[in-house]
Amino acid sequence: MTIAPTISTARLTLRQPEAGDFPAYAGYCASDRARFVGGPFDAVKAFEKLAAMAGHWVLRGFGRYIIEHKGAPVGHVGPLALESGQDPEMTWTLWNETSEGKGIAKEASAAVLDHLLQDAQWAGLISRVDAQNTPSRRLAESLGATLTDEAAPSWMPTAVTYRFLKVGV
Amino acid sequence: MPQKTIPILETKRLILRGPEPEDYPNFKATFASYRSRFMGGPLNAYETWMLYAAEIGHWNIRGYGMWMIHDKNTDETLGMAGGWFPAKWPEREIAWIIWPDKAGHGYALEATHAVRRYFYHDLGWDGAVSYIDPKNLDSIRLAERLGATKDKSAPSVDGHDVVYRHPSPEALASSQIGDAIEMEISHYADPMFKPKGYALD
Repeated sequence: MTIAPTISTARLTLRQPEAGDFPAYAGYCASDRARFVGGPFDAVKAFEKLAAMAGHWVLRGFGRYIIEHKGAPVGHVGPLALESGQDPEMTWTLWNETSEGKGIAKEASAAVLDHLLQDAQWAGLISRVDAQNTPSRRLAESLGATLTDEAAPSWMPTAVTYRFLKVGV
Repeated sequence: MPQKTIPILETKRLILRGPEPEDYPNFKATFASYRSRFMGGPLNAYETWMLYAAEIGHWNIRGYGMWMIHDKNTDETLGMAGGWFPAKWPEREIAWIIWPDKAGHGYALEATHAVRRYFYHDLGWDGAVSYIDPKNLDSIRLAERLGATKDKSAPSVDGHDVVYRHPSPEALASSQIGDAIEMEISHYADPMFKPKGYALD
């Protein structure tokens, strides 16, 4: 089935990337918060990454959503598939610490997982989280992911791998 | 997919369409090769895929971007041409790349001439530049065949590349360069003779 281009939750709108997201996204890319994903990144790289987030939707038919809270973009969430034959990776990121502690990442991730695993009946997703990234690991577990003993990929040697499975099988 | 509709441009021998998923293997082959050395390559698999996704996403973010160049008869891809303007780029750039085994037929000239006309006439651009590695002689020669001239006073992207400034829409309309480009393209399309020893795009 077609993956929804936008998803609404009680407090959030999840939608595809737009030009207006760039300043806030570039701020995140330049910050220490990007250290778990290979950053920080400069503005040129940030532009390429945001453009790639938009292009992913065209290439794969699904992709990551920008999380809009009270009319402002505060993060991104959703599935990423760099290789077409593998289980997509579920990701969630808040761009600013002022957005933390409000359940935004959980509300956004739960809505996306619900859509992918229940509505679209995807078989499963993985999540790679830096072993030291305790808040993200807690979130994965609270979303129902199980920790696997899968080895870390070469490009993210300190990651642990979680797995989300289809609901109701 | 709520994607900006990418216009289709047609020339005598070519059809230019937005980059599509099935075109990726051709893009990948070139960007994994030495041919891409002046465009930041060769790239690994991850970087290549992300760049291709970014080429497409550039259209969503800027409303313009790079087209995939197809042979009008066979539909095979020949390279890419279009506009490129990431954050912090000094000016809007007109860029092109031709797959290594498709060089020498004037495809880049024909495609770039068409995209520049689209930017000038349809989008109202008042000019553009091309940022070229000083060792990329084929591209420098193409910029000059398009009527662009070196602009030493303009800021470059990284201090290493050379800025070629394209003629303005007015300059292009009121000089012989436009006619000369059309004539050169027609010679490629229907050659009376082929110059030897020239690696032209």
